[in-house]
Amino acid sequence: MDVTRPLGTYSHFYWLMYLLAAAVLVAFALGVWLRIRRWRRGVGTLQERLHFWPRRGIDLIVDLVSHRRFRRATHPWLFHALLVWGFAIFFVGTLCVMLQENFSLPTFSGQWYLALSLALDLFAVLVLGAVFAAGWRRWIRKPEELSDVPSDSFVLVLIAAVVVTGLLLEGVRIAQEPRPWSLWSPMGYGVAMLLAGTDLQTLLSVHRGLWWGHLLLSLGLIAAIPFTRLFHLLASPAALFLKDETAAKALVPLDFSDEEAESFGVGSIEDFHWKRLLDADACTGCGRCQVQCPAWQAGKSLSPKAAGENLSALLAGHSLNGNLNESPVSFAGEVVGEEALWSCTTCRACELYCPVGIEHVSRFVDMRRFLVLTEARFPVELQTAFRGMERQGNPWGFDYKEKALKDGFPALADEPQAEILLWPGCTGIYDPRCRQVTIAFSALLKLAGVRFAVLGAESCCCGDAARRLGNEYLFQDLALRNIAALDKSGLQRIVTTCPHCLNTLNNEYPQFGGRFRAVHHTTYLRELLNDKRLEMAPPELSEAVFHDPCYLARYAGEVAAPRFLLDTVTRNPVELEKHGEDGFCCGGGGGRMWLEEKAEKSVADVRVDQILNTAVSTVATACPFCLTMLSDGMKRRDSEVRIADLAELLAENLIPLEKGGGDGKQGPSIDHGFYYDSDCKEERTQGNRRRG
Amino acid sequence: MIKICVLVKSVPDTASMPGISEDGRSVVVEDLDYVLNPFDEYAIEAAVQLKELHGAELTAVSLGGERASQALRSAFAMGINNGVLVRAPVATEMSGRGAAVCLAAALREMAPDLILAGKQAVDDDGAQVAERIAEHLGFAHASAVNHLEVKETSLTVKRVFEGGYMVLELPLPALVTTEKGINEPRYPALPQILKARRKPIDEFMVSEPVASLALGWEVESLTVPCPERRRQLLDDNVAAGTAQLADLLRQEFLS
Ligand code: SF4
Ligand code: SF4
Repeated sequence: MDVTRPLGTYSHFYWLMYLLAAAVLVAFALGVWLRIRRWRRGVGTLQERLHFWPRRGIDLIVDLVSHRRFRRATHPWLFHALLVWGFAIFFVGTLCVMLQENFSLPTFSGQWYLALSLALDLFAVLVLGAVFAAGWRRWIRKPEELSDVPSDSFVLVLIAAVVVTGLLLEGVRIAQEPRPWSLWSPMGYGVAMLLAGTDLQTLLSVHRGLWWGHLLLSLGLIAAIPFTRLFHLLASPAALFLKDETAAKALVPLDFSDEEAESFGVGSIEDFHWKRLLDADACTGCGRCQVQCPAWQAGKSLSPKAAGENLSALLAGHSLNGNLNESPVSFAGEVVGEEALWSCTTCRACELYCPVGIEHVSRFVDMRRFLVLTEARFPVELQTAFRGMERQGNPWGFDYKEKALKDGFPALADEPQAEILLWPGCTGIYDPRCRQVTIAFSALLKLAGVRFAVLGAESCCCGDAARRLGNEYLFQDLALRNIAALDKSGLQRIVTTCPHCLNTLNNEYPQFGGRFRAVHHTTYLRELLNDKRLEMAPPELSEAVFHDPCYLARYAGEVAAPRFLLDTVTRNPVELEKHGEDGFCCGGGGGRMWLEEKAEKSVADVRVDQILNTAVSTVATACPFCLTMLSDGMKRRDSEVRIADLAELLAENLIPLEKGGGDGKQGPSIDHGFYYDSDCKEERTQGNRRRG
Repeated sequence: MIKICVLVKSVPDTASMPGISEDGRSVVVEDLDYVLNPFDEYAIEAAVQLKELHGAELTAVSLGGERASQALRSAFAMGINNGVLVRAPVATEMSGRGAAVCLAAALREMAPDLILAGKQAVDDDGAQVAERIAEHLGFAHASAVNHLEVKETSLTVKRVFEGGYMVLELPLPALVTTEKGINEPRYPALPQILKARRKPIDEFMVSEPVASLALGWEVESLTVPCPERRRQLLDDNVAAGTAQLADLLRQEFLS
């Protein structure tokens, strides 16, 4: 006897089954086509997102099978994996049945059949368990971040019904006709045991009813895909496959060559790139992004999830007017709310945790661009920053010609043998507190005997803030100025103390022909220590933590070097709960540094409280914005916790404060007066300088 | 429709530090960055707001050459429709008196109902060209105005000074200079900036005799102000430090 099960019991009804299946396929195709049609309202071509497609395919498969994107967050993910894996097995099972029945292939017999039967039954149980877990979350626990529309529950019930009817069907079949190997279908066998003694006629009619029920439910589930949350089955893998990993790191440049253009940036659905529209439909409403968003955690109205869902609703033709209480309601106002839009720090926490790889940051910047460039509508304090960058190349509007060398950083002309170009960024030059970091770092360089130079007046703000605030025109102007200056310098190796500059130099300037290789000062310092060009005294500090700057950890992926450095200055390195790639933003990115805090609680406040809960006395960081935001936050909490850049901590450990006066023992002499420049504090200028 | 002219000027960005020429008698302007005079931005914004409110024909007027036309383009970007570049017969440095003569000649021909200007240009802080023009043209005028309302044939302005304010009613035609705070000048939208670059500018040649435009004085010498900084560390005990500070301030005022 062949080891299989009877197939084709209802083959005389197959014409009806195929008819129904065809109808479902038509509905399915129509639904998908409608979605694709609405994405096509956006700009851009498909080709833009197809390069390296084999790589994309492999990544996608790994994503789906391993669920690695889900596992980043503490959110429950196993139930989803079970559903995905389970339905994959169900699909394989159905396919095997079809192949054997229609093509007489041995795909549903022998040992393979036994194994498959067992797997199908086991996964049926696991899927039911998963539905139970999902239902428990959705209906009982109701987490705040989880979107819940009625059709979501419908889909869950439908899934359960398909599986339950399948198991019952199997049980009835086994009850009719038990085989020696029926135990390989343990669930079906169990059902059959319960049915023992039922007369054959009843079993036959129950079987027929169940067969139809199972068929109709399964077809219904397929038909529901394009019209319910199940659509993420298609859209989410599509979003992952078509993802631009660098979307936030290298924002797409705008073309300003058309002087007659009336609009720049995204002010309507039609202005969006099609991928942003696909993203909106690919969102599953899981809320991971919202949970991770520092602005949301600080109690602001920004929810990256809501932005996607609102956009999707707009795409579907629903009007959201008035929802977000602004008048007149702009497009950005409808999608996120303007105030929320300005709260985004571009920290990328949402992107990291989104299981379907949605490109949130660029979506927000797209809309900021429209507000800034086309409508000149933005928080008024930005005027000063924009004007300053336009005219003086820095957001404070300080005289750029004066800036350069007054701290004695060697100019390129004086240091023709420079091996590296030190790029302190404008914060590292103009902000008195951050300038101390530049000074500390250059002291370290001198000590290590590294010949370095700065560009001075020819360079200006890298433009990171301008770009992320939406002022792409200004950004391009700044970028071109810097690229010209950098090209002229002829120096290939750039070391910067600012992770924002790091990202702009490495990832964004290539868009305008600037090919530079910049490294962060923490990376470079590790190199100097490894090469023994710098020697450290034994660590002095008691417990200290490192606060990961978003642009270092999440944008540049550098989490190891700062920890290596931290270990050299403290005997007891501690980790904050949120650290590394999972770090929590200081609130200064995305141009937030130049925006006034209108909310009661700032992102920095949330981070500072997290730090205070960890009870440490020193917080090391490696970004001028983090340094500023956290120091200010600590002041607001009247805390004595010290916030310092790693370069400063290292410099202190090398150069004991009491000593004073260069002794020239280690390498080139260190001018202590130069390092401890007391003028820094004195020249502190409060707040933004206003014109006029 | 009311016709408004706005006087604009390109001035060195106050953030940049000017150098002094070798003979010590003039400012080296070549490497200075020029921007629209900040006070003129208020005048432009006021004009554009009037246009948005009642409808008006707006013309920006500037005296000079290439640099002056940059000021006109900035005005275009902010919403001014037309621009007139007034060219003096000689390329000499002019006093406020000379500038007023040239501009008045152009404005007389344009016959506006209202002239707006910033209360002063932040280059030499002369603060007199606008008022001189009003005198030349016989316009009523008010300086450093914080609020402005246009009616059929007259104009109500408010001038704030220390301890109070004054409301004036001026008959049209009139000239008004704007003070900071009258409005929040707009940051121009990019499409306007791009279009402003290619907008045609009308020119007006002044035919006034050169002699009447002459400076009328000579610069003896120029020096860069050198603010003397004194460092005084106070006791870090708050009470003692505060007392010290009070003493210091007292001395400062008495001396
Ligand atoms: S980038 Fe950061 S601040 Fe912006 S929406 Fe995402 S998580 Fe929130
Ligand atoms: S955007 Fe991503 S993380 Fe946020 S709700 Fe949608 S699927 Fe979840």
